[in-house]
Amino acid sequence: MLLKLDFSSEVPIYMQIRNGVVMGIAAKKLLPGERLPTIRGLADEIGVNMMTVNKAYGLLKQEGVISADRRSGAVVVAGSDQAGLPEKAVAALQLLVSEAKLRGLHKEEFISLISRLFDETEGLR
Amino acid sequence: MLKIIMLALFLPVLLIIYLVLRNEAKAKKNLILGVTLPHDARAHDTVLSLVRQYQLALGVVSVVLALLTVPTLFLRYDSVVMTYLMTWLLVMLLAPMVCYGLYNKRLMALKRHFGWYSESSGTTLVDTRLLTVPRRLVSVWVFAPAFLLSLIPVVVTVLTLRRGDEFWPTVSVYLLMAMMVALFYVLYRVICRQRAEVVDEKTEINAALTQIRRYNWGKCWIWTAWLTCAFNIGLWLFQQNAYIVVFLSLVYTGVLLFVLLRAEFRTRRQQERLTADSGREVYTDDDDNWRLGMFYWNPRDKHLIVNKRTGLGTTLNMAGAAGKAIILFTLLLLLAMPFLGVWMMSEEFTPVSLSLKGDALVARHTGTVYELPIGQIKQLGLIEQLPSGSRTMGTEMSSVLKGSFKLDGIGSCRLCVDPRTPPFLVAVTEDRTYILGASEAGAVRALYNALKSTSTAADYHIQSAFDFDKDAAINRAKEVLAMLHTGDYAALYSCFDLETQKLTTVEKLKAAFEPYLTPVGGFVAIEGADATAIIDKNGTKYIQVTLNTKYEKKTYLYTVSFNPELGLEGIHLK
Repeated sequence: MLLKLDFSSEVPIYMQIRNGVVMGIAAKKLLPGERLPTIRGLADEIGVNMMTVNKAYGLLKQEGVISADRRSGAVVVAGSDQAGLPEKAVAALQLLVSEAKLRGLHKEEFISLISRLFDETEGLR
Repeated sequence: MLKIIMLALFLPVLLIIYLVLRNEAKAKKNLILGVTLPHDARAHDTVLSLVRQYQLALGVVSVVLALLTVPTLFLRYDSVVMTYLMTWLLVMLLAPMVCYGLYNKRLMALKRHFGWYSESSGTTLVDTRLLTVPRRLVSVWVFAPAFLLSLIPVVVTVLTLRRGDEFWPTVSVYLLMAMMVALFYVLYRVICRQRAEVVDEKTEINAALTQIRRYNWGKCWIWTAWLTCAFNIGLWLFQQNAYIVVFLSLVYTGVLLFVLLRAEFRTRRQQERLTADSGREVYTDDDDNWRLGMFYWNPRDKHLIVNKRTGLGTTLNMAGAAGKAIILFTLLLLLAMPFLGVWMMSEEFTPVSLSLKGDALVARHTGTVYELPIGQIKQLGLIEQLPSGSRTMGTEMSSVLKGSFKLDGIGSCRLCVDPRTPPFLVAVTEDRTYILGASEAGAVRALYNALKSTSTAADYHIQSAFDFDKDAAINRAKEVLAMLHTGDYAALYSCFDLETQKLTTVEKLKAAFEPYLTPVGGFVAIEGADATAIIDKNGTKYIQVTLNTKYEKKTYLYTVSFNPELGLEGIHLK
């Protein structure tokens, strides 16, 4: 998978790494069981502090997206065991729905937009 | 001579710069002239015409630069040639780069105009799969034997060479070479630790690109390490033969250059082929981090050394403090080059002066001043000719010799003379001998006469091996040769300084002379003889007598060497 990092973005790098991995899994560019780079290797490659990568991996592990152990490093979990969205994501979606409503989007328009984005994610290969 | 060497050195550099920069016009890793372009844009008419213009401009610049070296052939003074060539070198390094930078800017403008951006422009791409591929490094034992072998000359020299003037220069050359072998191992590690090359979404291509670079350069450093090891041992084995040393140096430089260029060009060719088709969908575009397409400036990247996108090898991240410092230092060094020539000119064209100031004799040339109080001069004399010898430390130009020298018959001394205007004043003080002169004709003689009338210094004459009785030396040589041919080894034995010759018995002495006797067999008529006094590089004085002998119509040439007391040093048949 190609991890795209934008240093001029306001989104912190650790978040960009986390998002990149999540999107990669959704787009099936990262397959279950696939190994991720080591913390040191990735930090070296991007040219950031190891703490940044550590934070991203910690977050991903906490979310159950990856598992990490000492021997094999970080591995993509085979199918998330947590069905549905976490609470935080639901709250974010709630905010997004409100924003769409505020900008005069109809329910059908919003749902078709979501549907299109969903398909795009699957089709991104 | 100087200019021929310089031109032979610089013109190939110009050719390499031209070839490398011309190569940048070819698309490689989605780059043309250091600008990332999508696949379709590479065949765009405006791009193609710009590339043609660039190639033409680069060609013109290179030809003009080459032609600019012609005037050096008509320049007379070394210092002027030096100034001219150093300035030329500076221009030669900068002009093609300026040309490249100019066209890089134009192409960037085109890119902006047509909006040839990838969605990943300005971002850093990391191929996660590539990073999980283990890096295969060759064992340290591929390099270690080369390093250990190249230490042999260092160790043997330290153990056997007499501590003298030559000790440290010799040891440091061998040590430097051994250190270079170690450095090549470090470079090998650096190449393997460098950032992976991500140009495209396909991991296989990225992996192959990275692998190609690591493989070619890895191999190159292994070769280089072993080559340097072989060169070091070669230098050590053949140190006595200057011709072989020069030959080895040339071969080493040539092969080294070949190995380095081959690694770079192979990498490029293979990478060009691999990426010919890339840039259709996702591709890397970090043009923003490359100023003028050549200088890497990325404050967010911690790496100091990065792969160059264009040109040869690697470059530095100039956004970091270390990168800035190194670049600034290099730039200062480059800009200082022409001043080296200016300094040489001031050395070559400033006359040497010698004068009396109060109670002291003062010799002056640019920064060098020798001040000798007249009362301290023990001996004073004039010599018409400078004895031959060598410079220990100082300046040696057609118009000035100054600094520490070692001259035949005089030994260590300080010089400050213009060798074109004899005579020269020799002044001996308590601790040193000075030979002083002036560029102005007649000045030295006048000064000498003036000094002679006031000073109490004794007359100086060269105490050297040149003061010897030539006839006595020749007669002694004849006697020695007769002893040799009549087999009177016992008499010959008494002539030898046994301590230096380490010959303890008459039998050994016989064995030592056997090779000189065999071609002749019996007593021979001596037809001619000449004797000269020689001081060898160790400072040993001896008299060498050449005897021209005849036996059965054949002429043999013997050289018989004596030490000043006419003790025998050796006999050789030529």
